[in-house]
Amino acid sequence: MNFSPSKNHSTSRPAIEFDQLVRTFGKTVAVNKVSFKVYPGEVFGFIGPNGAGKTTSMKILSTLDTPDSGSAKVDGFCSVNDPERVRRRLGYMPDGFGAYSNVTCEEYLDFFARSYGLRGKDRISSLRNVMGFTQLDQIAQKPITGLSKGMKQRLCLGRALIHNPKVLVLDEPAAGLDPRARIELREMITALADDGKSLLISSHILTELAEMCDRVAIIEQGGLLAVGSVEEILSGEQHQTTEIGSVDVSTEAGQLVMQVVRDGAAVKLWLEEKLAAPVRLSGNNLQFAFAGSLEEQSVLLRELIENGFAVISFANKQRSLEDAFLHVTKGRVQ
Amino acid sequence: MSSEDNDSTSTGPIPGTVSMSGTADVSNVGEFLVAREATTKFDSWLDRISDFCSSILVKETRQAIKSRQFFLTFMVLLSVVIVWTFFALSPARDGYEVDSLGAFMLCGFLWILGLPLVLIIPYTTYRSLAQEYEDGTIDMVLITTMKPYQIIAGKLGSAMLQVLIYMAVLAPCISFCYLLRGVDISQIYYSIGGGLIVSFGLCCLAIALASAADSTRLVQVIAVFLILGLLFCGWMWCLLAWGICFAPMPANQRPLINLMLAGPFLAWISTAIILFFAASAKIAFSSSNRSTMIRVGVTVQVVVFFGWLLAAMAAFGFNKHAFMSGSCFAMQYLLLAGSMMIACHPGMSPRVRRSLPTTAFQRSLYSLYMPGPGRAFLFVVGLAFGLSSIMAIVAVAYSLFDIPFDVANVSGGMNATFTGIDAQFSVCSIVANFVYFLFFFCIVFLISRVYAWRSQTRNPFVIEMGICAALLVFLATMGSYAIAPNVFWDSMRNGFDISQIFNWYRVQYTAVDRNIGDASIYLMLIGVPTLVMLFICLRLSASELTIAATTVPERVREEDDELKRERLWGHDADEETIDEIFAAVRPGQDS
Repeated sequence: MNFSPSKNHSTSRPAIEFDQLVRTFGKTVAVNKVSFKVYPGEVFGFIGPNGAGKTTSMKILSTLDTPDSGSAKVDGFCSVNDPERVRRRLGYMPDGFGAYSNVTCEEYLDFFARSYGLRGKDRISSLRNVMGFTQLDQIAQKPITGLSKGMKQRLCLGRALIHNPKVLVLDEPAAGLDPRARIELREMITALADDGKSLLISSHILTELAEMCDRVAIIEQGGLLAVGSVEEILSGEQHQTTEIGSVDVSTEAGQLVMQVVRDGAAVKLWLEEKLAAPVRLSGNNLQFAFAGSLEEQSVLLRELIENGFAVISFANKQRSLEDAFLHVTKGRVQ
Repeated sequence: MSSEDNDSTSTGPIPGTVSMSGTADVSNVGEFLVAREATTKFDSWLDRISDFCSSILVKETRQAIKSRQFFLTFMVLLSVVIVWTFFALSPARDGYEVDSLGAFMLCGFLWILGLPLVLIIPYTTYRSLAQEYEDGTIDMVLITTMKPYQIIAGKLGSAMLQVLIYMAVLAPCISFCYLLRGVDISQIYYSIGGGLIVSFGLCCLAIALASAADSTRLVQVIAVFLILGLLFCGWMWCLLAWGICFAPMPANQRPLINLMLAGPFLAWISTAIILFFAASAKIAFSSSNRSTMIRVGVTVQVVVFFGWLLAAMAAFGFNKHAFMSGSCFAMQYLLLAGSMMIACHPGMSPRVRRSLPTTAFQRSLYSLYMPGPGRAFLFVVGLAFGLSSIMAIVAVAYSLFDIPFDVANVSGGMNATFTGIDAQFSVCSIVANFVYFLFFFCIVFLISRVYAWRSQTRNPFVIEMGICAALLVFLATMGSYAIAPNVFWDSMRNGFDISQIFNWYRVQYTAVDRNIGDASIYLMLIGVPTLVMLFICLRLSASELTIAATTVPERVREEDDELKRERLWGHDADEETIDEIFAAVRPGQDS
């Protein structure tokens, strides 16, 4: 199943393309017919519970694994049949950080610059740029084994960037970072996307992804559940797959949140009778589903006020990516 | 940076920084170099030199020189050398004749050198790759644009650099032994060359084992066996050093000694190179061609071995037992190598099929070197047949035409007890060897096909099973010869019966050398099922010969055209195709 991007990218070649990707480990289907495209300059979020198949998909794309069937392409090159061309275009930042002993930050990046074939001035220039971008200049001569988590993540990002790839694959880049480091990482990712790089990012910190990503895909048990822009996912209008558990959220009633000054319990009872639906009361806040247009919402509000309830706010509840994620996924593990 | 690399980079700079593209602004790189506090002229000179070296070599060398292990080994080596020098010189007094001390001291120095060369460096080479697996850093290295052989070569290069450093430490001491007399210069060459070769081979073995150790438990298990093996090699090194220092080497026998040493030397080096390619293949991406280089290595090794065998036998006047043992050993080796080769996956990736030759003739020859169990079977059988034929022709020519050979000149008069072979013996021996080889190889191949058919796994016949199968065959055939030579020789003297039909060497010896009729019948009993199995195996293998080359994907052609255009016209080339450009440049000319 193919998913269209929210932006018009019909003329450009996808930077990343998964086509019916399948990978099994024994009887476990880690990735099950995953298909989507990421276009140049796009930041694409890959969301899913642990064991959903995100890392496996990313590893296949990064030429560290091979699929049973289907294909993963970078800039039109197949990761299985043209791994060298893919590697020149792709920077991969895994979730784990493998450190070498007796190596400083500068030596570490220098090693990878050499490994990508950079020589002489190109190598030094690339080192300088990456260390400046990731702000590793101050700790260039520090041994990497003693770095903090945040610095290690920067170093990892620097390593992925050292050959200036078109595509970046970041597996849980924000895991274990403090709020400041997260913000800095987000700024770097945004800057890279502005530079025209395509980024595929997996993360559990969905608020971060919601701010950074142009589009997201939700994956569970190896199958894609939803793909679309963050707005589409939140509004429930995203393209959906029927591969695993179709979830139709578009027909669901809108969530309303209301705050009353007093008589919360009475308002709850009144609303439950009126809507024939459960209402959740938390302090002076009431939350309930209401399937109606804006006009019908205003009628409901007027009736509340006419009945003497002291309403001080009445609004649609904004769904977060976390809500959508929890709604779409079922918490299944394999 | 090459044009190909340039193409792979994106065009824009990272915001807030200077451009990151390969051809980016490098005008103030010199300032950057100067500004670096730690960078001296020597450093930058070294930095430029290192551009010509493998990145792994640079990294490993930096790590090794800073490591505690290197420092400790270096200091221990220096201390032990000083202690040994004083100890060895302690008998010397005024007027003491020091001639005998040279060999004594050299032997001690070689034993000391054995510690890093035979034990420490091979083990650290093993650890350097095994630790990459344990820490997960190997993945990061594998997704760079380095080729697998470059990774392995870098690690080996780092090991050999350490060998050279340790040797450099002992170089003055070894020179001192020469000055003390008692050793000649050839002994010093032998010891230095031997040390280099032994260490190189052990490092290749260590890295091949490390490449196979893809789980923590396996790393530990292999490490234990490796240490035991290295300790044994250390002991052998001590014996070798003793031999080099004290064994007499008369000048008239030196050609023969060199010829005899060439055998193990070539075997050791060629095996090390095969192990190098095996390690490279093990870490290579699954869609790459992991078989061809190993098969080329095996071909070279077998050809070299046969060449050496013929030369050695010629030197000894074609001794029949040496001839029989040598050809038997060669077939046993091919059986072992072939059993491992047929463990590869039958599928050939589109990437490999793209690289196939275009003509059918080239493809049929080349296909024997391509991956696949059937192709491996045909390759090994073809190799065995070809080399057996050459050997038979040489032996027959020698016996028929009585080719003169100045044996005494080469062997230093050591050939007095040897007896030459005749044409009948040589052909019978080679045929017997070849039949037995085919018999057991067909069995192993058929077992592998049945296993693959039953299991339907991604890796149908793992390499470990190939080794086990070959070892079982070895035990069933040569076991009595290898394990209990006394029993074997007693049996050979006292009689021969049907229970020994699978004993490859025994049947050959009895049938060919003693002309015992029963043994010939046993040979025929083996030959008939061999023919049947060979026919089945050939039928199974033949399907793999018909491989069709796949077309190059459009995207790959597109990029290759772009690269060609860039190489020809630089980066400002327009979108014309190469043909159009040439047509414009040479109007009116026929192509």
